[in-house]
Amino acid sequence: MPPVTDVNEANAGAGNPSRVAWYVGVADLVEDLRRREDRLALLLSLLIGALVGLVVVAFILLTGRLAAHMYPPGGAGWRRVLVPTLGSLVTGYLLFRFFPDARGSGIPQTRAAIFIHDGRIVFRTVIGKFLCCSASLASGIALGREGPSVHIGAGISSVIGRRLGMSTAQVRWLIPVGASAALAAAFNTPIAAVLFSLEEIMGDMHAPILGSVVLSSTTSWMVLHLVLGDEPLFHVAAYHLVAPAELLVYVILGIVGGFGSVVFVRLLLELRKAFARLPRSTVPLQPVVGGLCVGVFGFFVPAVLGVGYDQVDRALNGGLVLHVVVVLAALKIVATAVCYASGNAGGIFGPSMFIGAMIGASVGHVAHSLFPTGTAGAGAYALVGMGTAFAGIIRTPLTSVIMIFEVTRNYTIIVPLMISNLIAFYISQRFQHEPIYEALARQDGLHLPTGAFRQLARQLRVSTALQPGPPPLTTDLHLADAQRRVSGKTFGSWPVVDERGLAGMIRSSDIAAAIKEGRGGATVRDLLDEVDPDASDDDAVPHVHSDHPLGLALTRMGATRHTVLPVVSRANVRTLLGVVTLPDILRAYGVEHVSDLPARAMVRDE
Amino acid sequence: MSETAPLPSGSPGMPRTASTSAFVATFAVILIATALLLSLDLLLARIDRRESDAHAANEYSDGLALLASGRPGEAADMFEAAAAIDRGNVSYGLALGEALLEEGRISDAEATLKPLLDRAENDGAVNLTMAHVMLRENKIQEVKAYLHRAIFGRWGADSLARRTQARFELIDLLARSGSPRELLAELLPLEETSPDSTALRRRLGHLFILAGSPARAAAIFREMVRRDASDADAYAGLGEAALALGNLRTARADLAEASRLRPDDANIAHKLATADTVLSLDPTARDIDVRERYARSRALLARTVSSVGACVQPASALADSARSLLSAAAPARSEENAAKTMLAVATDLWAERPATCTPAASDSVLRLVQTHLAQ
Repeated sequence: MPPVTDVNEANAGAGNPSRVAWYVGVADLVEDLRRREDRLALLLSLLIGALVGLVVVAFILLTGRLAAHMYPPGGAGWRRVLVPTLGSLVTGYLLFRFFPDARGSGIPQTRAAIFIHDGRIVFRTVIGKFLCCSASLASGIALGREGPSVHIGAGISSVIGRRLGMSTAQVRWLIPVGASAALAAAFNTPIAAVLFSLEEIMGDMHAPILGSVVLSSTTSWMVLHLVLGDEPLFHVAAYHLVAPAELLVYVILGIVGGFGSVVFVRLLLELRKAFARLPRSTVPLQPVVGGLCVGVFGFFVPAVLGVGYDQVDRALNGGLVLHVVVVLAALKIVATAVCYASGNAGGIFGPSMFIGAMIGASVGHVAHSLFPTGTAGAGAYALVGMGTAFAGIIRTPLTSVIMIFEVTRNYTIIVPLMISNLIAFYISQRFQHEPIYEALARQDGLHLPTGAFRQLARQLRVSTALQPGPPPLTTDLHLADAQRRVSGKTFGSWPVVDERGLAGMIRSSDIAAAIKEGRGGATVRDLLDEVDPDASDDDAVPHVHSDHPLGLALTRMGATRHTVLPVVSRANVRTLLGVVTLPDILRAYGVEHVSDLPARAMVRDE
Repeated sequence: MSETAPLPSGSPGMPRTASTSAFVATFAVILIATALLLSLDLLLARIDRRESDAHAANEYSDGLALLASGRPGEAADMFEAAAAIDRGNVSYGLALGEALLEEGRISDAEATLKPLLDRAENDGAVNLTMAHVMLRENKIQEVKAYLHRAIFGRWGADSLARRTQARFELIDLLARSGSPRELLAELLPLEETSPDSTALRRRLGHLFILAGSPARAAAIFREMVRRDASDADAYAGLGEAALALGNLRTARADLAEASRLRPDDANIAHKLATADTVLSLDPTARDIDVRERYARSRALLARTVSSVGACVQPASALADSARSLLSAAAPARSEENAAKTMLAVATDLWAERPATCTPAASDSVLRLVQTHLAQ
């Protein structure tokens, strides 16, 4: 950087004092920002909020305009089959060929960027997400715009942070800032956006970035209002609890919504697993299955196409009859699951609300027909149902309550909403143990921090006891050679690697026993298959991650009978980062006189 | 290994890796991108709004056509679509409310109009339609309240005529519900502000009679006669007002003139017959002898006792004395005094009748005679 004083002097020579003063002021400001990250963070929160808000508004408007051209008023029925099929074909190719990271929702990818990729989301992914999602949603694919918006917002933040040369930690810090700005604009829910960023993206409601997240969310929301005006996402009449006994119906709604959520999540995950088993050459064509599915549904029931917020609005106002809401709920569950699982670009936020509104309206219609004077209309149940499905599927109960308030601006039905939400949340937790975004990430081979892990995150971590460890054994090594490598070393277990990376862990005692049996000519692979036949499965390889608590490492040592565990990457469980040993863990816990203990007995298994 | 806490806070003094030029260039790009995106968004939003408005307007006009052809259900669907597209347009919501009302979906109409009133509580048209909804639900007090708001509310074009229409609706309601004081209170401002229309003035005149202000009615009809001496309705109204004022002979003369101008009008003929009947019952007429005066006074007292007795229970002391008078034999010599006594008792008995005591339609002649006697 050139010295500021030189510039000042150069400009002073130009003989224009006001220009010089102005330039000096700007230069001082730039220099101050470069030195003070807290000030830079404040400024970036505002700028990212505004920029992301504008991008998301453009995304919404362009998608709407594109959809209007694809489905002109009075268009023929065949359009509803052809457009999503062709749309998914084109976007499928683009996603495969140019934007592989732009598939799906964007929430797991955003979390992966924070926890695995050092906050790195490349600009190409942002562009791909914008283009592919816009085309995909406009063509009628039954997915939502909110998840992709979050990914786009997070991506913009990441690009800006890296362009400014910020540290990795600071770039990570910017991701939820962009995510909350995107969600605030996409859903018109500034408070829920803040909560979602902390509750789901960060997994920590006490994250120190609260101020920045609030700033960006608010700025983005203001931009949305500046451009699109002050309109809530849905217009709902003021519903009330008609009678205390009506709470029982909301309990039933919570149960139905909870099981509906479980069905949806399981169907989506199973279908995704099935698609993943297909040959890699079919990947560009897989999205067409989703497009064709939603097209066929849309031919008979056009309301299934797209995000379907207009139908949600009708359901919220009691404008849909019982058989319609039942059919829409069922078709949307299948259509969204197939569209997502087949690899189309789009999220599950919006569909969750759609499914919830239809389930709620179904329960409401039945309840109101049975007890017309003791229950509210179907619209009230559709409203509560939205939050119920959201809590069941996305598993963010607090965000879902606030979000329902914000999208409807209706605060009169809070108690039933909270009861139904909690019931659905509990049922979903009970019958679908892993939350959907964590399960999706795991299917992609990403081991993101789980909810349970977050509670332990503040404890001592594996990284504190991490060491490079011994050079790993290779699978093709003969046991006799392996014996020579391990003999005399203090490690009781040794990592074994193949061409894919970490293949498993093998004990020195197992090698010694095999040699004693005269099997010195066998390979390490043979012994590994013998002692650990499940080692080919990623999850079966004994391992820990560097941000795991040390207590978990001890538990796993006990479970696997290894006194040395490999520490692997969350992005790829086969990537070996180092090892953690029992003595190192004890030392980390402050057992200083570990040398006094019978070390050999501890380290070796015998 | 760089597995650190995920989000450390920023620390002052931390060196930046980007050069000043890259730093400034990045901010410049952000600002330029923001400006370009803002322009793009505003343009797209404007286009979107224009197309949405046009689409909503089409739905609205289709709905109006359907409503005009007597298909309120289909019209409501069109209006609903229009209102969903352009929620800020009160006309769409109002049309939806009117269509739902016409279709008989009263509670839906009410639910549609309420949010409109929340947004535009002074909108005259919305208040007027809400009054119609309340009328269908037979909530008379609410009807009056909404009609008042409609009268004093905000109207677009042709506001005077629309306000007058709303006021007449309120006046009709008050006339039907027999509230002469409230009716008069509504008529008085209308007399000042109503457009100069013959039909309107005629209607106003008749309403003033109903509101118990026949003098104002007479003034209106007199002015109409002055403008057009061949206006039979004006003469009929003038006669009616004179009857209500108790000017029986003037009333008869005006009604006779009306009948002359329009001899086939049954209504005028009926009013003329009524005036003749009232005149024939008038015990104060100058051209009758004592016996006839006594007979008329006695008949009047009998009618009054009958009318008041049907309304007031138990009978008052005055009513009892009236009955005693009626049951007594006719006096042989002092018929003049007896007639005066009967007349005095009849007028007192009529005057002590409670205000809530509404005379039957058949008592209209009695009422007119009593009004005449009260002059």
